[in-house]
Amino acid sequence: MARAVLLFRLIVRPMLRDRARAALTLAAVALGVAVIVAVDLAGEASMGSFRSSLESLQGSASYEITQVGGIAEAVYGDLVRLEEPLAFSPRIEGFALLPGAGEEVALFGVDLIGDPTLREMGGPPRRGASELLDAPSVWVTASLGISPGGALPVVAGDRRMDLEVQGIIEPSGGRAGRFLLVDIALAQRLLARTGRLDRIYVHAPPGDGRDWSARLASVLPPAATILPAGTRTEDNRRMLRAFRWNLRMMSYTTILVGAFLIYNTIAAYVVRRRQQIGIVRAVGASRAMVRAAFLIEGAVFGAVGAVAGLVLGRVLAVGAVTAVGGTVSSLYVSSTPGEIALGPGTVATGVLTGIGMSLLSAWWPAREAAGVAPTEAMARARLDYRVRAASRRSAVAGLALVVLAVGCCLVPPVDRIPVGGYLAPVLLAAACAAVSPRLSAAALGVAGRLLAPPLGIVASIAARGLAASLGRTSVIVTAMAVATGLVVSMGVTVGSFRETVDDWLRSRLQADFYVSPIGEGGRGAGSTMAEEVAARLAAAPGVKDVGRFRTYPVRYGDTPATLGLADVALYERYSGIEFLEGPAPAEIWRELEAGASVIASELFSYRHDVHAGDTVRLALGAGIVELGVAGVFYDYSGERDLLIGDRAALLVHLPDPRLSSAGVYLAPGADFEESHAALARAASGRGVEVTPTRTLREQAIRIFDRTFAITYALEAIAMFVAILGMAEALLNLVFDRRRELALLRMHGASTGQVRRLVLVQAGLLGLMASLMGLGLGAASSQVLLRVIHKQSFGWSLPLHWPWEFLAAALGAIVVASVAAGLYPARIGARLAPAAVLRAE
Amino acid sequence: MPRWRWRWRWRRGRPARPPGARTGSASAPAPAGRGPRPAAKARRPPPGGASPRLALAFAAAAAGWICVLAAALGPPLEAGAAGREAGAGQVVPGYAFEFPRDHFAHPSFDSEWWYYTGNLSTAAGRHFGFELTFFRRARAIDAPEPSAWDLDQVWLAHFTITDTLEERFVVDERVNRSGPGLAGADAGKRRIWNGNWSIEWRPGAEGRAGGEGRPIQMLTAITPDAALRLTLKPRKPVVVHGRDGVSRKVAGDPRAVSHYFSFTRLEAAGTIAVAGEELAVSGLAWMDHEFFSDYPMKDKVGWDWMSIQLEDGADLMLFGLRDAAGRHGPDTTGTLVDADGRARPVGWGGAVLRPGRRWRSEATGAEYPVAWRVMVPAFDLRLDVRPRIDGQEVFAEGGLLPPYWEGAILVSGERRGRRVAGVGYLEMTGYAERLDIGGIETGGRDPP
Amino acid sequence: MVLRLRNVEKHYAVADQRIPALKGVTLELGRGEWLALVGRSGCGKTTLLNLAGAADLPTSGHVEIEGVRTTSLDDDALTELRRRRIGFVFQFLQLLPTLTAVENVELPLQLAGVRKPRARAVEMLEMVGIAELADRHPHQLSGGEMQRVAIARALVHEPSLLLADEPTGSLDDEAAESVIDLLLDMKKRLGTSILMATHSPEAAAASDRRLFLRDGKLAAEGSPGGT
Repeated sequence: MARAVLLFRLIVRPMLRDRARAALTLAAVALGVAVIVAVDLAGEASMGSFRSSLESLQGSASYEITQVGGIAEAVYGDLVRLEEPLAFSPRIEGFALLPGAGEEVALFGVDLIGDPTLREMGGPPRRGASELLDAPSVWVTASLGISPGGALPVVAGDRRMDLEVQGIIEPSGGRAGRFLLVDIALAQRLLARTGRLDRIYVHAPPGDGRDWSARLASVLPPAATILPAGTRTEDNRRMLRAFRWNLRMMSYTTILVGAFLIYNTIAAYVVRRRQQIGIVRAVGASRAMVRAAFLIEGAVFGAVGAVAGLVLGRVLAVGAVTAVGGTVSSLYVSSTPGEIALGPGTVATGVLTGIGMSLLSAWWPAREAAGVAPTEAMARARLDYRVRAASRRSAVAGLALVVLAVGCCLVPPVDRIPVGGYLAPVLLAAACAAVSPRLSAAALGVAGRLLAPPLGIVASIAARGLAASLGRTSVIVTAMAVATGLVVSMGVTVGSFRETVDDWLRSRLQADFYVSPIGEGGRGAGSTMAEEVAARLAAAPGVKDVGRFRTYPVRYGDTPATLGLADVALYERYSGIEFLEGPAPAEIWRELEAGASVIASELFSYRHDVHAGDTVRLALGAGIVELGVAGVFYDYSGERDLLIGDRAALLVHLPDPRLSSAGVYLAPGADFEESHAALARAASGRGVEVTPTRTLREQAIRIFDRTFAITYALEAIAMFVAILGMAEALLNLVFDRRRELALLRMHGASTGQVRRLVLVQAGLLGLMASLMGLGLGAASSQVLLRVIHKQSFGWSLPLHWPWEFLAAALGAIVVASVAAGLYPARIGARLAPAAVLRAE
Repeated sequence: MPRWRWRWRWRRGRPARPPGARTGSASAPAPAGRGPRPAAKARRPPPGGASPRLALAFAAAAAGWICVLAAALGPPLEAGAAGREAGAGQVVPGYAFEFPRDHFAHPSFDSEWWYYTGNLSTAAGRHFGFELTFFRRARAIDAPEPSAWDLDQVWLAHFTITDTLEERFVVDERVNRSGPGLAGADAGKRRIWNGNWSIEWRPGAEGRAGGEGRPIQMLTAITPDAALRLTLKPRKPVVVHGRDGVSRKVAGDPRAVSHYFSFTRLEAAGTIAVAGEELAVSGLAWMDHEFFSDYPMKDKVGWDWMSIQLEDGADLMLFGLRDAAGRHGPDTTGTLVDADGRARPVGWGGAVLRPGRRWRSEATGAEYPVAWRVMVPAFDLRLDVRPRIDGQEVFAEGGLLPPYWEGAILVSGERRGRRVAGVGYLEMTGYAERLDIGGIETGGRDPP
Repeated sequence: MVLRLRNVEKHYAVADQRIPALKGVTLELGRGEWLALVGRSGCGKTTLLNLAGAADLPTSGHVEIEGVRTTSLDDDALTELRRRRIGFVFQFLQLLPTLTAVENVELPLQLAGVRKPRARAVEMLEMVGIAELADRHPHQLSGGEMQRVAIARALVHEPSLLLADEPTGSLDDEAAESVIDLLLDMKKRLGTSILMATHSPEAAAASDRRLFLRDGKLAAEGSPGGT
């Protein structure tokens, strides 16, 4: 006990006294945990949004029935008459624009009179319900902030209507999402789906384990799909899972960077207090006790940091939800952020990661401390780390890690999660850590020689000072390199992606204008407009062609896909589609026109292993249709599997002529502005908007950028933590070398020279980290593009180096490093040389 | 998976209505049991002594149901509204009943129902009671684009099982618009249904029991908690109640009328499933079918109605409208059907219904006289009525209708000096909730 | 006079207390003179040396180096003064471990911005007799050799005042003697004034004059006080 007290007095208390460094380390852990927590919360919240809207209205359903193009409602009558203990809930699902708020929200149509499950869910009272439904009544979720009693103008597809807000619906558990609820009759009218239902939920009795699908199928048309309820949410989850995994992996980078910091802090203490450790050992502390002291130290950093991180993470989550929600909306499905719920799982993840990482990074310094011999109490304190770069061995280890990383890239994904792909950058970072001492030594040697002439002895002393504490220097360089690597690899990946999408938009968006129902976001199948809009547009002056397009959500195999119906003749001429598989393009187009074929997007082809020449069976309209795959084309329109077929040919199966969008091609020489005005006139009052292609492209790129906003934020935080680590490392350096600084001062160094020395060290660290990070990032970006992206999304992206971004980022990192050196430099310059020397 | 519970906050006050839809008239009950109502007229005593010999009918039941249905399902169709001829759906004397046509729907009338009750038992003698009722309500709508989901016809159905042995009472309620085949009455398919609760008529030729006049009826009702599948064979032909095809409801009120007929003795056989157990059952059932357009209620708060099938082959239907003081006054009436099928009306005030033991419902707090002493002096009939079990209150949480008691009964007594026993069904309304509906001015029992 | 101290007092603030280190010291050091400051450890020798070397400023009284009052100078001017006029030799750990012997010697010249300092540094190493060790790092040198490098460094910029704080303190007798000899030699060849603090009467024997410092006060010249 007494020894433990001594241990505390000699080892722990000095660490606690050093508030600045303790604070920096805690901040790093806290940020690391905060990012993990925030990303987790945001992911959950953005998932929660569409889950809550749909699932809360889904009740206790066991199955859901869907059909491409909608279910003929007469089928519903047959279902409800089935002599089985089943209940049914019909649904119309669509979107409506609230012109007042400019917001597009989900609109659900339910059977407010007959649906027994609404009552189970505490639905509207029966008495008087039919009365209310004589008016165009709507119920809104509380989060929309619309108060009952007024008129609510909505635009759905090409229709406008003033609804009467009858009340608020609000689940008692919160997370209502943002949607409108109307009776099914009104929904059909609003969304132009008279005679059709989008979905039917089937409720089996509670506790009933029977499989009802065959019984249901007996009264359903063959094209109807019966799936376990929640499949769509599950689809979305699955679709989002890859995205969330990527985000999660990124969020762990910060804690990884933070771990280097904890390592550095504790290692510095161990080195500094070697003599004291020796004393404690001499008076009888065991090795285990010493090790425990440092491990506890690490755990304390971890625990305190983690708790702070939880709080910070909850705060960051607010911003992250917006960012992630934006990504989810623009890339996947329309979603409104749900409530942020800090659940036990998230808390546990954060705290365990924080403490675990801290313990892990305290392990080696603790081991070194435990290894201090009691005789060292007598010895003069060693002022430097043991550079444990048994250089050759670690170089070999580094090489082995690289080889391992390459091996990981060849591992196929597990359930669409590129496990090997995630491991590879980690291994690369480890390799970086292994070779870092050697590389740093070499780099500093070169830097010392190169910098001495222009910057004088200060630079050379600076370089050698860093080289002398290589153990520490290389750790901080590695930490920064990991953060920089993240910036670089994401920069390269996102840059490549952006470039590709931009090229693709340019080649694909050949029309001069696009016309779509008002409020149609980047989400795909949803609102529709009447076919006659296209005819009106075609009649406008200056218009050469109008290409009509309709999308349907379909299922292929176990996953959702999108079927696009296009005017193939026009599509061939204008769409700019490029094929990566199949016969000559002309041949492919002819085949499409023949009507028994579709073309598949690269994603579709990749995910389903369907290639040109294969056939796909799709449930369309009333039956199952077999279609040939004429070719596979490049597509970056979103995270969805896309099939495109000829509109005229497929209308046989899907006889609804309404359109999702139309492309307007002007005749040569037509005046753009005049045509725009003419088109706007032609389309006015039809609930559609005419968007010039340039605007559309800009919107797309803006959406793209919004999609990646969260990644920029994560990079910035990781970098910030690394810079914190830099500041800390430099502070350590200044403290450990303060005698040398004092000597320099005695021998005529000015405060400016001392300051410069520290700043040069900062700059050198930043530069080395940048270069190493560039290497690491370049390698990781290959992994991201070729392995992670391909495996989790199925996109193949040509590599584009975003030079400006990289130059700016690396420049900024060096500048930030130097900035991080400002405070340590001031501390160094402020040291009173006489006092330092006297104290020694 | 946790189930979301929605809290629905409804706008206070009277709902807005589309232009063109009627907002009720003096001759019709006010809409739904919510929102402000027309100011109640000054209370006055029941019109005691007013035309005590008016025509017989189970007016109480009818009148009550009209109002309740109207309350539940909205205002009735206004004469002359779109889709219906002016003056259609009026009960007229001398109406020429024609079967099977009149077994199906009469959409021009505001309200209509098909009402099945019965006492069943297994071979081992285990007793069950059942009720399966289909209601139809016509509504005025204003739909510029017609849709299958329009609310021009709304269908309500009740299904109950009385499990005497286990003292269990299973209740379910179902509401649907006609929709795309959700509910309706289809003469072509000889079917009346609400979801998978249905009555199907076998063509008369198959009905060995009596051809077109005695069609076999198949009842089906499936819920997660219970199921009923019965084949019903009429032992007697249809009985049209009242006089001249018109059933009068309240003594002295010529507007309180309906067309009303019954199969008073149906031989039932089939299966009943409760609590996961399916049992073969047989017994006797009763069927009522009635249609009418709305008329004002006066000072009545509810009614007591019963159907009785005696062992000697006679069937008896009786009811009495009850005022706020709990008196039937002269407004009791009914029909006696002899074993040979001959129907004889019970004149106004010709039956005495004397309440006996009371039972208090825990769910609603209402007190029902579950035992009765019944006397019809004209037929020299005295009967004691007692329930199979006390708890047969039809009450669905959030349901459309106010609670009522409808349950299987046993009867015993004397007819023409000979001991007689029988089975039947008893219905009591207006005990849980005052029928607070336009047209009824009463200071009846307040809801608990 | 190279150095003049007038009524110099120096206090340190430790916790809330003011600890006096020097209590009114007055002394003068002539050009080419070697003055030994003898006293027990803790008597204020190092403080006095720091004040004399413009590394610290007195609490009261004043210090004149080459006729310039240190209290009248800002930090840059003090640095400049150290660069031009003063050389330091300490007891131990005074070489920068990352620099070679010759680089250590070059250091003051480089800090002062002198171009091509190598020749001068090598010359200096020759003068202290260890030219052949020029490219060794400090940890490859013996204690005596390190001290020779330190003396070379202290004198490379030809300061007028050499401040030596226990220069023989960490050396064995033989090495100590050779360091004293080297200092004598240097004084003769370069005419540098030397102010040396030591607790050892043997080391002080070679000096021109000895002052005894006790509890922050100078005792009578030549009298060893309580030693």
